[in-house]
Amino acid sequence: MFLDKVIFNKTKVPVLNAVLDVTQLRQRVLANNIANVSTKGYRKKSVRFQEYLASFVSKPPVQGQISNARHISIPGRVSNPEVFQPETTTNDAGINNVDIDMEMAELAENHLFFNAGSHLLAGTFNGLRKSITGRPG
Amino acid sequence: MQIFDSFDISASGLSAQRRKLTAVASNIANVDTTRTDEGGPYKRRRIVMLEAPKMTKFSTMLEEQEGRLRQTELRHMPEGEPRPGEFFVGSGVLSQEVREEPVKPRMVYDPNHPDAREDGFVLYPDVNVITEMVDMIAASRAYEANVTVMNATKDMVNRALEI
Repeated sequence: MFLDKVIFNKTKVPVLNAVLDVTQLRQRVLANNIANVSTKGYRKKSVRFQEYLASFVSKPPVQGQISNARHISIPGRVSNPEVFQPETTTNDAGINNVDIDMEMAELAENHLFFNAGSHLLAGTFNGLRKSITGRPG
Repeated sequence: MQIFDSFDISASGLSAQRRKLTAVASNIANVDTTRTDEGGPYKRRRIVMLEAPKMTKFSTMLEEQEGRLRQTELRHMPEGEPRPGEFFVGSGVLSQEVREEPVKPRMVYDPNHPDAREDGFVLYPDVNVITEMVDMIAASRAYEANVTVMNATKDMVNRALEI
């Protein structure tokens, strides 16, 4: 959309959008790990969110220009946050590899991360609104 | 929506842990039960947890099916590994109840008991109260953990509405 290109894509909106998306995914993965805390043989899941978010702020080393329809684009941005199963040993109870303290800590971190993202996004929209209408609120 | 799936996942955890607590309560309440409908002493109830296999929600399944590649011609190659980002995130936990066969029933010599065997021994359930108490504490802590996740998710949704 034209409006997207001129207004939103020049601001922090796409990055913050990705922050909210990835924290939501992470929340789901953490909820699943915690729900399965007493499941025998369960393997915990994790999200590679740092790499995904870093691809928004750092420029790729090589950039390609598509001058012919048959060219393929050089992948610059990590298209999706990746969910994977980390190889860790079983926890103290020995029934699976979910460490409940780590999961709860990650959950708290994720929660704050989401709140920060949503706060910044609200601020960005407020700023846009201010510059469009010329008055606060 | 993805964020609402978190609620379902936490809810499945809550219900599984509650079920475990119910089983513990039943085991402790029946620690001296010598007579049951199926005959013999009470059999210990045990809750087995397993990871929920796939989201059974209609919208999720439809989304998945739409994303799959179809073979309309014989020369087409079949779809390979799931593409990145399609990794199964998980949809909570399932629980099943198992009645344990007694390994070593408690035998008490009491010939006057109405359920006494010919040799005067009464079979009591194979329930260890200490094990049950430990299970109870573990289940109640796991329940609390799921409540915390649910509260965090709730707060996140509320924050998103304030944008």
